[in-house]
Amino acid sequence: MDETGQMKTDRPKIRETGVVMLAAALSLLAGSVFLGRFPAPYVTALSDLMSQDLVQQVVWQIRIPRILSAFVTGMVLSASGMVFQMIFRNPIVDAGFLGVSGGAAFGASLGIVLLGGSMAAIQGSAALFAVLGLGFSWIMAVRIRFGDWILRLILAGIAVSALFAAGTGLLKYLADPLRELPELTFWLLGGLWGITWTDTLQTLAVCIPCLIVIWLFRWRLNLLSMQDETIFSLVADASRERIVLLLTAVIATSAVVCKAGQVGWVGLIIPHIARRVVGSDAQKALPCSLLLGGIFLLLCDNASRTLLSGEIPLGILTSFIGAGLFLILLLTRPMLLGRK
Amino acid sequence: MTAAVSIRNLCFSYDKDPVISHLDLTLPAGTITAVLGANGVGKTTLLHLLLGLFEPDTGEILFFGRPAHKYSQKRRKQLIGMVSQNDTPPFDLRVDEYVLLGRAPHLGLLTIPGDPDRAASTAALSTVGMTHMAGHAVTRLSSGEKQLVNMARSLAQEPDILLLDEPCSHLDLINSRQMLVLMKNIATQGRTVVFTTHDPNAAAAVADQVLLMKKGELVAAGTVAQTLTRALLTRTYGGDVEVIETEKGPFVRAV
Repeated sequence: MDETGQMKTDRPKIRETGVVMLAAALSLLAGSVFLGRFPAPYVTALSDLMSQDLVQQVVWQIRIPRILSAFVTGMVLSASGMVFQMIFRNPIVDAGFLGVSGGAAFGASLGIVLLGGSMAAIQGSAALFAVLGLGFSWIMAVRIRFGDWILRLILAGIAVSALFAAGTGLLKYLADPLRELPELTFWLLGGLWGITWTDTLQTLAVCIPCLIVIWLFRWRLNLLSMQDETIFSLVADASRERIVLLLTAVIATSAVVCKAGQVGWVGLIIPHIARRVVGSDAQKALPCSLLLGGIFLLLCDNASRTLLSGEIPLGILTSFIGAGLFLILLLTRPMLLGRK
Repeated sequence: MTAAVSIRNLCFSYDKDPVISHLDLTLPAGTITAVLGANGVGKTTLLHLLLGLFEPDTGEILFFGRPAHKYSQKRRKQLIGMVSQNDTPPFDLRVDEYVLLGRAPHLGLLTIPGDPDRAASTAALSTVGMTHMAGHAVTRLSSGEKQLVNMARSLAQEPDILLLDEPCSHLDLINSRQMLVLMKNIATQGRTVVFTTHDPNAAAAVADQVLLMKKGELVAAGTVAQTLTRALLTRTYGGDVEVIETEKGPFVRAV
């Protein structure tokens, strides 16, 4: 946007941007196959990949499922972030603000400490408490007697997240320091270190249908971000559309969070960057957000598994980079928060 | 003349506090109706009842002779457009993208707007004289420009009945005048316009029919000459009002 308020985006330019981003995403997906610490740090030579069985096995069994999981996790977190921001008409919310991430973290901790620690217990419990987190936030927001809907929802989300954080803290206190606590701590820091093809296929099976639903509603997200009276005058059953989209976003988010743990800031920051690239119309910003989310998380995961001999927790990287980018956007573009 | 809106014995209350009592009213198609009254008397509530946001306690509303509840939700959205006060999107949508949202009632649930929809929204922007602002961010417009763009969004909806909540509030003299002229033009095209206002002079300038509302009751309904009288306006606002007759109609001011 220039100083007169004229937006710089136009349709051919946006199409061009889309093609460039798609090419970048595909190149990154392909290039990531050659990044890792085996057989040598950083880059795997094509000759090694072609000639050594062990390298081929590492790439096929470990690297490719992890790359796909990282990309889809990024897509889901950024798409869900955009859905939450638009439906709640608030540019600074994501799953973390509405009790979803807090609920998932508590659920996973419960799975590790009290439910035996099997993958099914951790993932099932994380998904269940993610949905409960949003449900509690929603119910509390309905019962709060002051402020507008957005303020009430954010306050309720903060309170519910804090309650779940306290519960997670208690479970950490109770956890076996040798067996359960390291697993719990690493899960809470976020990461894709143990991802297998089974995990990836499970994630894809849940997330691809959810992403398709969100994609189909991309133009209507604009409508759902309007004032209530305006929505009512334009949309036959806005409540149904909101519930479908919120449930879809929460299911997809809990599906990736229960595999990857706490991966913060992606859902908050990526939709903002997408709006900056192609404008705020969700018909264009959502696809852009999907691609940027995938690219961002894959870059972070590549760094997480390649830079050091040990794994850098993914959540630490995304929070560090995400918070930095958020500050830069705030300082360079006050309109980010929708206020002059 | 066909009645676009017929209201029969309409009653509505918030938590047993009556806002509208036994209202009977007919709004002919292609006319402008101004709803006047002090703050909090139920002017916006009446618009919300027409929109279907609230259901009446008793009585019924008919659109073109057919009870409102017999219209499907989708058809009702095509029939009635509404411009609320301070209606602004929370994100930096471009003016043309924002106006295009008005096409929603004409589209399927998952349909993306196509060229005919773009043509309709371009025409709506042209009607309000804002074509040159198509590429600008809605959040960066002045109050007057935002109000015109909101009007364009509602016109893109191609409604038969247009509800405007305080369309001239926050507008300066020139923008107010422009808005009133626009309302007149819209009514000339056969659309029925209902607007709420605090300014009796705005009603005097364009309204075919004026409703004077006081908490829970209709003080009067009729033409400008019948309703904008000192006695009725004083009763409506609960304070002394002076009505000066001019060549262009009555001019109202508080004493």
